[in-house]
Amino acid sequence: MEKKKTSHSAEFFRRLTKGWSSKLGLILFVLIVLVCVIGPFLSPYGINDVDVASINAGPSKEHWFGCDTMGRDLLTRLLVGGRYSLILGLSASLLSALVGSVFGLVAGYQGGAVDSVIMRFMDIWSALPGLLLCILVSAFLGPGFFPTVIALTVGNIPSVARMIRGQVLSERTREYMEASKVINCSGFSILFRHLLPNTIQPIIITTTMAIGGTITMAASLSFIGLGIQPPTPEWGALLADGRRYIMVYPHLIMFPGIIIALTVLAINLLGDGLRNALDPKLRD
Amino acid sequence: MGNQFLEVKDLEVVYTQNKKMVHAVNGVSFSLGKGKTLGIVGETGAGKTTISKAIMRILPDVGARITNGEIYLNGESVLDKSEEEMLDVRGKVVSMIFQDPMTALNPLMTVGDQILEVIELHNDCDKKEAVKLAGDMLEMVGIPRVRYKEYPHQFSGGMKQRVVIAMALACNPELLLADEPTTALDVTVQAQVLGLIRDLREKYDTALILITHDLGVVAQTCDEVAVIYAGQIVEYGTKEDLFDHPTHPYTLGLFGSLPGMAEGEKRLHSIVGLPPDPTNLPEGCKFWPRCPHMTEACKGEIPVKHLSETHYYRCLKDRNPDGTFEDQTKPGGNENG
Amino acid sequence: MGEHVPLLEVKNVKKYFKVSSGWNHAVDDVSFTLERGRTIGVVGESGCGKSTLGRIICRLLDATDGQVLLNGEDITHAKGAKLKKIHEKIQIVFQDPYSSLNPRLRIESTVMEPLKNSHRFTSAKAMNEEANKIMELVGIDERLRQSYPHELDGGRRQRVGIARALALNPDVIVCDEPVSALDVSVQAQILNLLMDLQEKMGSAYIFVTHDLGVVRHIANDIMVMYLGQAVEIAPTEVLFKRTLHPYTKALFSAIPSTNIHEPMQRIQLKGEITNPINPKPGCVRADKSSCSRCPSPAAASPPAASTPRKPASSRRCWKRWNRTTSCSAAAIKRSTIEKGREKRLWNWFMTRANTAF
Repeated sequence: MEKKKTSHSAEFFRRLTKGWSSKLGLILFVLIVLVCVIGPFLSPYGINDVDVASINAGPSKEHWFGCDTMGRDLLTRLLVGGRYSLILGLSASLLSALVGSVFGLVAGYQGGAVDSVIMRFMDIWSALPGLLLCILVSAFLGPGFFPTVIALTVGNIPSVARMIRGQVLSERTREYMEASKVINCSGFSILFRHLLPNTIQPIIITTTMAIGGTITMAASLSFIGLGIQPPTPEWGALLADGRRYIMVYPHLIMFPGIIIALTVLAINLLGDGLRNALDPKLRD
Repeated sequence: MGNQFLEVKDLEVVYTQNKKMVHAVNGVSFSLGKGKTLGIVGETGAGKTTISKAIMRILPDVGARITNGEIYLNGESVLDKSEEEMLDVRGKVVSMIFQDPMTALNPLMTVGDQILEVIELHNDCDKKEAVKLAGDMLEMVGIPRVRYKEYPHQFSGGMKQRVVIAMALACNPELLLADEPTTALDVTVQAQVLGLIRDLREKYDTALILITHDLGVVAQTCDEVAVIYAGQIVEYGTKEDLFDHPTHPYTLGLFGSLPGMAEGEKRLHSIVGLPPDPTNLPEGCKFWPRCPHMTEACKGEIPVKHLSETHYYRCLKDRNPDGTFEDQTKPGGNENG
Repeated sequence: MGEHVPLLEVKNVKKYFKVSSGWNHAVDDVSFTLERGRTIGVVGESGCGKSTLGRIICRLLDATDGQVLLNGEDITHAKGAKLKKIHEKIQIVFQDPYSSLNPRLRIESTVMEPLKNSHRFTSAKAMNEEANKIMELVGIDERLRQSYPHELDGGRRQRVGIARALALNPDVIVCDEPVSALDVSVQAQILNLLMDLQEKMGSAYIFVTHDLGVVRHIANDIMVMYLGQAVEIAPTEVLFKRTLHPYTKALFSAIPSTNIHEPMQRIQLKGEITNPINPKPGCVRADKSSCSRCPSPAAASPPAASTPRKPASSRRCWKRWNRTTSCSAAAIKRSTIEKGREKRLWNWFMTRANTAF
């Protein structure tokens, strides 16, 4: 049994890294994570060390990415901020995928009144603008890491739920679902052995797509003073800080922008690879 | 033979799929006179549809290639025509009916307008005339003119197939390619549609190529029959040749596989194994892995044997006078080839 | 009398679906019996309710009215543990070998699932052996057992579907068009397999199909359905010698014969199949004007039940309680329409390609 499992994961890994794009995504993502985890230890500067001499300085030998408006080393702040942003983005997206797919699965599978109640509730939920909802929750729960995760999660749930429900509705009509009933599968087995694996693709795709949005949303929250509080450097916050000086000191917005874009790209490429690896039909 | 309306010579079509070569059609030749009907019979993946698409020149641009062969329509080479010239040929000289009427119609246009569109493209007539013509076409296929302004979803499957036929015939083509036109329909509706095709063919003297897997449909509709296997014609003949003296082991296998033919037979004489993988066709005769009369020699060159002027088959074996081979076809087992 | 209990007895089963325009009488008052080791063929055109009937028997759908008796026991409303027991005795083989297998389960897991759910096996090894035995029986190669469904062709997938249904050695197997998606030569293999298995295991089949050749080959009795009703039931030989109901006649005459020397005498039905929504009393075929027996479409009398399964045929014709319908045949094809937008657009485009460019 144990042996089978390892060969399974080896095969999964082989399929994941088959295409060049997913390989690139994986490498990029691992690199970003590693750098964010290890980088700050290697940096000679702390995140709040102020170097008055190089306020707003551009990239140089001492400060690779330059310094911000208070003379703090941008690279160090980016690396440390990356930890927060990545964890925020990943955990909030995963959480919303989890909660959203439970709602979607139950609504789609049960149908009838349960479906109506859940989906109308989701309609109302998604009628509120995402940012507003986020601000509301954040204001209600106060600042801090966990409240921010929850605030970021809430906005994504309805769209995930709706997508999963649609997927379930189309999967439900397939004959193997009927077959699973006839061969006495339990409700649990039908949901999690037959239905969920066949709806996992869109879950993965929406989750990876949501990570980028979540990072941006976290930035918006920081910007208006909710979410993670300064001086904790978070990518969105760095971006927001630099926004005012975009014409004079473009490096302040360029580096955070580039790293956010790279991260989102890596995650999306990885998402594609995951989808291919998880779909037996795309296997060779 | 030079005066035939349609001539296909040594046609070969190759697809590239996932970096593998799929040999869909491997040297098919046949010809068809005006007003005649040819049935092309074969299983899924035998290359039936590819042949008709090659004649229409609507093979996908990416991946499909005609590697060899010539196609002549009215003595003109189809393959040498430019894309602009083909626009005039499609619809006006050759037109095609697809298998699934549900997917062949635009769900957002009324059926009348869809026929009208075809007419306007190929004829220089004013709108009023064209509308009248479109209405005539509907009536010709047995749909009342009043339904001109209805949408496809308001029609049943059989009715939709009639609309598709009306569209295909709107410009009086000289050759009609029907790709499994009745497979998606119920038997009683199939009978109606086949009857309609037959009547129209007689009325307009249209040549027809009927692609099907149903030997019954062929028997009731066609003059000549080509049995195709793995992209090759394995047997060709008039309807009488083929149904009275089927010769190639594959043809015999097809007849043996038909349920409900022979009374008292307990099991069907099915063909063992599966159709070959078109990316990896066997050497020599494509059928030998499934053939009950297989010998080593079958892996070599296979001659085409003529039994009569009209009837030929592609096999090493000779036929006994009674139409069978030396050893009887063994009943097919359930072994999985 | 009274001693003999048939294996399966279907009594006046009805199934009505609510649709926007009223009630769809998918199955309307159908009765038949099935003995051990026998096969009853259920034939009819699309929308006649034959698949619905099959699903009611294996309890995927609940009957609106009527009874299904298995070994004399009423299973129409069984629930919970009792329903599980019934599913071990009545199984189904589905039409579409592509959608009837979970694409994410390996072949072996698919076949093993019913064994696992039955809790009959104490060890995983015994279960594995049993699964291997079944797969060998239906002719699935050893090397294919670890593959996924999409790696198999239609015929082999259908074998997997049969193996799954057969795993617990059920008494009744509902075969819902098991060969209609297959090529002729593969179809013959599967039919032979089903007949061999019946000889070995003694299961009774309810063989739902639209192909009269297939039922003639495999069935002992045939039930012809039209718009939810059984219009004629008879032993196969009797039915193929002489059909009584005009619809059966028309249906039989519509099959293209492979005998080229015998010109077809078609009784062409005019018009399309109607649908069974909100039927009015009268013959189901009263609006198919070809029916020669119909004195007047309005003539309808209550059922003078001619006993089913008498030596000759039992049939429903104008003397019996029947009904007619309003015509909007589009409803029947609705499911087909929804099958695939992509394919539809592609085919539509290709038609354009040949006519419009």
